[in-house]
Amino acid sequence: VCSGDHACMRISGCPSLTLKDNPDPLKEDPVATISDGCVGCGLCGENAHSATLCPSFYRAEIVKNPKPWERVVNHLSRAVMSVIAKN
Amino acid sequence: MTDTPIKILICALGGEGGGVLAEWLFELATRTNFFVQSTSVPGVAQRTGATTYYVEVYPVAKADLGDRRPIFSLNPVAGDLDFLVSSELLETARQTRAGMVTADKTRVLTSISRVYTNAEKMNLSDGRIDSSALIEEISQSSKDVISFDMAAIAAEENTVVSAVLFGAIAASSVLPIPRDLFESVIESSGRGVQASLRGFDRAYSQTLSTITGDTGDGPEQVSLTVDSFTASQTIPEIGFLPLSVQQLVTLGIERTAEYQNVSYASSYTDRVINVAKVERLSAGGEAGDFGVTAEVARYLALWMCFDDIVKVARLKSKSDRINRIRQDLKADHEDVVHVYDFLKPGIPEIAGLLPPFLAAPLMLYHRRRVESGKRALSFPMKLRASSVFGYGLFRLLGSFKWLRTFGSRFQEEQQLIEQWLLGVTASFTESPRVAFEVARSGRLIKGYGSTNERGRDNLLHILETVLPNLSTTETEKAVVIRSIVDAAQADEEGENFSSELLKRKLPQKPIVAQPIRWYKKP
Repeated sequence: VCSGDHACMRISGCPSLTLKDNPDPLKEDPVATISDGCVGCGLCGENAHSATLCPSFYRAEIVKNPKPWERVVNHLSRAVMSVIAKN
Repeated sequence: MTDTPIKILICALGGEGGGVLAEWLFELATRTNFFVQSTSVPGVAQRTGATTYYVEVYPVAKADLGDRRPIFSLNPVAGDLDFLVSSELLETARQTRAGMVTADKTRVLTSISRVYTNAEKMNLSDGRIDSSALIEEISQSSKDVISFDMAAIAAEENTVVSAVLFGAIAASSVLPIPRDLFESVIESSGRGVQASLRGFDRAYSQTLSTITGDTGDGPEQVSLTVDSFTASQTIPEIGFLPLSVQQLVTLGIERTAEYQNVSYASSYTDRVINVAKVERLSAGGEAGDFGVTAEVARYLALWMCFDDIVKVARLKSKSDRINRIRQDLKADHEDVVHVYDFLKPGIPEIAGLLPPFLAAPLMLYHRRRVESGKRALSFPMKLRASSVFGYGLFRLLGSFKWLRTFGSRFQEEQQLIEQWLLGVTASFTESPRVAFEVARSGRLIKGYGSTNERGRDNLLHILETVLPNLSTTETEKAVVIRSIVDAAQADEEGENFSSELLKRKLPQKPIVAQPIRWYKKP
């Protein structure tokens, strides 16, 4: 979804928000990517959100050792989503 | 008996383990019974500080020296450095510029990986410094260079780059110390030993093969490979184009077909062939390289598949997206992963999908609202794409493809595309080089919201005002257009664009009135 404009980098000074070669063969400009050093503060995303820059940002939360209920809900959701995906 | 110690300068970025490496070298020398001194200029995490560590080792056993002690220097001196070890290419170049690397004695061991500076990242297109130019400069200033991608090895073996550097130092025989002593130092460090040893080993073999094999290569170029594209995949109408161009066009056809439908894809093909015909004519009917057609094929495909709500929704609801994210996060099977997409559609995005008679009053309201100094109306949300509701919503929005062709934005974009294509074909009367630059200016169209508007305004200014007013000769015209396009992508505020226009004595963009925003004192 990244268009290669880098407005997000101009607004955020974070070193973990960096460039990588465009996986799309039609585009030539590098795209934004988050490197390993990211500490997950979320500032880059919040900035891009407030400045209405780009819908590329998302927050991913990973829950380790989920409760049994969370696991059930998760498996059910993914099953339903894969059914929707096939249509 | 040597006169001077072995002088090693270690350059790393903050957080990469340069200090650990210096400690290891110190420990190594001590275990070998050599005298050693190390000094450091430490930094902070990430690229907040470039860190340098200076180690001097006197390679004579302590026992042999008796009562005498070597005198060490506290800091490295330009012109008197035996070995420069660096984990990042720009850092190496920086030290080279500072005079630390000299052709008579300094051997360089550097990674070719880069950590980009803010200046490189801020450019609207591609501001990255050419790595091969850096490597060239370093090679010319040094006695010899060993270079390979250390960051990649460190990432693959899940270790820190200090272990990789250590392995490279061991293999390069800078220090007359056997390999197993190096490894024993890592083993006693106690932290992440196995991963460090793996990284050490890989760097060791990589360095040896670089020394014995051929020169260290520059970064790999990622490019379209023509070999996988066979003639059997050719679409007959574009058969007259060279294979590489056909590949681009075929990609474009696939994209436009997926974006909308097959007839949209054939209108894409028609537009490309139109340009190709004019290009062939201008080349006197001979088969050329169709460079302009290639450029048009590329940017036309991207422009015709402009980003609207439907496209973003489709991209975000791709069936393997959640799985890919799980893989990136290295999530185990039992872990639960939530993904929250940051979305903020505004009135223009919504009006874009509506037919003009509905979109017009909405856009009027939007413009009036912004001009009066209020913030534009938008609907910020953090949609949980990993839930059935969120995913379902994305799929629902993504199903509105059919609405697009009736929408106001679709019609606007087609109009602008035609205007651009006309500019390209008309430029052939000047020269193919000018046509190429006009085709290349299609790169200005990208992004969302205000980013997209800015690119559009700049392109329109070039097509409508700059092109008719160019009074220079043919080759210069191409250069002028190119420099203006590059200036448009140099900064967000448009200052580079304005100053370039000023330099070329071309009319400026009309000044847009900015609303005065009033805020209540809290």
